Amino acid sequence: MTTAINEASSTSDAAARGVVFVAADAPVREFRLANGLKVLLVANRVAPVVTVCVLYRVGSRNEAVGHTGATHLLEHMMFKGTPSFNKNRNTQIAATLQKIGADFNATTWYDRTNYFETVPSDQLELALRLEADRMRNSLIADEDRRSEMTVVRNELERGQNEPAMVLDEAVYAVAFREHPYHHPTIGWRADVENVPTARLKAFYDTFYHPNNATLVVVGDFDEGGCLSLVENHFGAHAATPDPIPEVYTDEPAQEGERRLVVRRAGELALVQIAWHTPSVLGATSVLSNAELAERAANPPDENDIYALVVLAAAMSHGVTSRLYQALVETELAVAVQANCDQFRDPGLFNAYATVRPGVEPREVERAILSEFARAGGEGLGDEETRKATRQIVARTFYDRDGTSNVAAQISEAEAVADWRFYQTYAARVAAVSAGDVRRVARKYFTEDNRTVGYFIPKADDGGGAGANDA
Amino acid sequence: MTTRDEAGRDAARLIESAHEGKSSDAVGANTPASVGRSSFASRVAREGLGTGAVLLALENRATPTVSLRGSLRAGSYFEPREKPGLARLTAEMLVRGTRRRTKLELAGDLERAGAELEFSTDPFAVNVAARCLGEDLPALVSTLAEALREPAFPADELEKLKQQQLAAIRERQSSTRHRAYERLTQLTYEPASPFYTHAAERLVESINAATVADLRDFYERRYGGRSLVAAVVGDLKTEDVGRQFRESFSGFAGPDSVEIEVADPERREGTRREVVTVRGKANVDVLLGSAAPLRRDAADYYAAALANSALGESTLSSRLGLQVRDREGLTYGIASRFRAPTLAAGPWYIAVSVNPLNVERAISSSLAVLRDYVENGVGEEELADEKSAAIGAFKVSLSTNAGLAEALWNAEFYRLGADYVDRYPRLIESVTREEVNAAVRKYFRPDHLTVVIAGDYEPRTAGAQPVA
Repeated sequence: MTTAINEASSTSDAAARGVVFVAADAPVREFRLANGLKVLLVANRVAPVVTVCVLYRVGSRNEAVGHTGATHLLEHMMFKGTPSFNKNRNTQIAATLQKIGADFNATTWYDRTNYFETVPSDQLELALRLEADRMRNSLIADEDRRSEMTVVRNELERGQNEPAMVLDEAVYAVAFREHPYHHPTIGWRADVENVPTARLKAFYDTFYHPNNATLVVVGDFDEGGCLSLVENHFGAHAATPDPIPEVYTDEPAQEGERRLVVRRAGELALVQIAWHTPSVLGATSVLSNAELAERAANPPDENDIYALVVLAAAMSHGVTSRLYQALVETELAVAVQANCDQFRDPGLFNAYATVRPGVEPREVERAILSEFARAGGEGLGDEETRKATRQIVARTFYDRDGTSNVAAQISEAEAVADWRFYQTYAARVAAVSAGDVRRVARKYFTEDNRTVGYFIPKADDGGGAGANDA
Repeated sequence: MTTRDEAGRDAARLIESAHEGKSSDAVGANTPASVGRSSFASRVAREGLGTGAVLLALENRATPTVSLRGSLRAGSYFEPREKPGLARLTAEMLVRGTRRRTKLELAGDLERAGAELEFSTDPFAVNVAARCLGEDLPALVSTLAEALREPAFPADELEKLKQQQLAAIRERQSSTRHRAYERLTQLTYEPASPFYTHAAERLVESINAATVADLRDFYERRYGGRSLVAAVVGDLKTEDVGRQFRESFSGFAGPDSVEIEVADPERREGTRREVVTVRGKANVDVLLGSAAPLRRDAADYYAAALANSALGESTLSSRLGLQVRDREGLTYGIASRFRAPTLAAGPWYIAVSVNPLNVERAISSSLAVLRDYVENGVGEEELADEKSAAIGAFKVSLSTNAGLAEALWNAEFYRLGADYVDRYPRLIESVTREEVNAAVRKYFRPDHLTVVIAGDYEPRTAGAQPVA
């Protein structure tokens, strides 16, 4: 990595107006505007398209009871318009993007909100202008909030139709008692229905500022020209006078197994077991923004997250994986999955199984726990570890195919650490040894640290579906 | 894919080469999708493999990966009428053991390389989707050939697959979206149609009864290179891929016929509606649809596509989206689509998800939008926007290996010509407003729709509700 200013030789015009080159590590180049906006550029001329992604460091971790789901509802409101882009002027945001063939959307998650569009490369300025505009000029009208609330409530209802989502939500709510990962990103229903428009506006005015955002541009562009456009459009916004509020609620260590059952309409039983794990940078407590930036720039040599990710792959990626062999091949379950959260704050490692009809969930639970005990006991073989690391490295590259995927991956890294996490991810995973995996399997997969959830289909609901003329 | 000895190769080398590959300079010589610099068709290597099979290969060194998209005509259309589900069982058994390797050996070799190979079926095709790191492509191609040419259909594996499929069928019964579509096709098509969705009980019965002999028989009669299309894009040399495919697929002959003859159904007149009750669900899925006589090779295909996109392609910005979602807030998702304008004509429908209390309003509002559209047609500026959207979206879709492979496969499968990707913008531009409005009137008939409501929904006065 270099930090020499002459790295930005092609950007002299923009630099003169306040764009500062910060760092580069091919293919990523980092700049910063005077107002604090972090800008990451990745040139990629495979196709005549460019992806623009603006990441805000605000997610459902920044919410509390009464306004859970506010981040997500606000994300929806951000499509309702600004004085420049709106329905009355026939410049509605979605229509403006749709008509140039953009692939666009926005998503909200625990740690961040992002807005992105992939556009033909000659439309880069439009994308930058639009994103810069809605960073500070969104209307957030009460009338729009009312109609959008029912849209979001229907999104919530769609999720409630899915047994796996219902169980996952219940497990997180029990595993996290104090930390805001307790509540789902979409929010609790009553909060979604009742959050006042003023609260959303306050959320917007607190978190939507250049110094709480990263702009990622990936694709077919000229660096100097791109930076000039960025400066022209985003440079107009001032940094916040006050610091962005921090989250400081740590989840205390769990002291004993927690269990829950959800009984609802459905067809197949589900089992989910979750264990607390560290943050993506290996921290075991919530970090301030400054602490996070420092740790991301100087990541610790010891970070259990990589070994946990490898364990998840060894447990459930493919037919040869341990849970597949122990549960699907033995016909206890019809599907299995394991996943380790890679969040900004300490998250969960989850094992999921869809129980085969006629099998007791308890039997499936025992089989899952037995496999984790084995991983901590005899451990994984060297070849098994290499297989799992290779699978992750390959998927990392599959996930970086195309400008929108690269932008999405970099933005996720920025949300939980910074772009260096994206750069070093594959190498750090590849360096995991069988010994590392055995160590983390012993360390985290304890009885006291786990939450066990069952979804049990209600016998008199759902199963008796039939058709009738109406 | 690798041998066991190779599995431990130095990952750092791979990671380093990936970073090199992603710099813009490294791909400067190979810009496959840069429409306008030179023709797209000139960069694609198209090769007949002698048995009727066709290979399309394109270099794109942006990442160290390769995407493969392929198909052959052995979908559910070809299965015996009395054995629904047989085509899918057969396709999904291909990777569950061959004459050379057990399922576990085959999966182990793929997984050690981080490679992925999947087979699925639709009404006409067995579809292949695969990806691997560039250096593993030779092994992936030979595995694909082994699965297609030498499946063993072991009985114990068939039994496990059947149990998994039966559980999946049962799980789908609580999906409001699936139940709505299932019923719409049952009300729209005859059971012999490839677009008819068999009831769960019928499928369960057929899958339970399927034997290894049934699968072998179907395989012998329907599999062969004759209709094989494979598009491979990514970190590869086209001449190497050609050689690998020639070696792996030479002599993969048959079947005698891959022709498809499907009569489009007579269109129902009048409106019909039905409620499929699925208890305990917070969300209701509603479909308003009909059979639509649109095939992929229809003269008005592009006019129909544009007619539909203005109506309901985007939940956020189409006519339906702007009214039912944006103005009225009735739904998170509303869209209209031609489900399968393929080798035969499938259904067209509007799909909307909705709270049980808003079902009637959402149906009325959707129909009002549709009626207004049919009555007044598409606007001049609106059509210009839709054209620009279609052309822009097409360009965007060509920015990944997977998107490029899909575009190449699509052009070959539907015999659109090697220069289809280059011609697409002109095809869209040349559609007139009159042609679009003719398509609107032909395909969208608000007074002749079947409405299916699936969820925990009680009609207020059963049998007496207007639909508009």
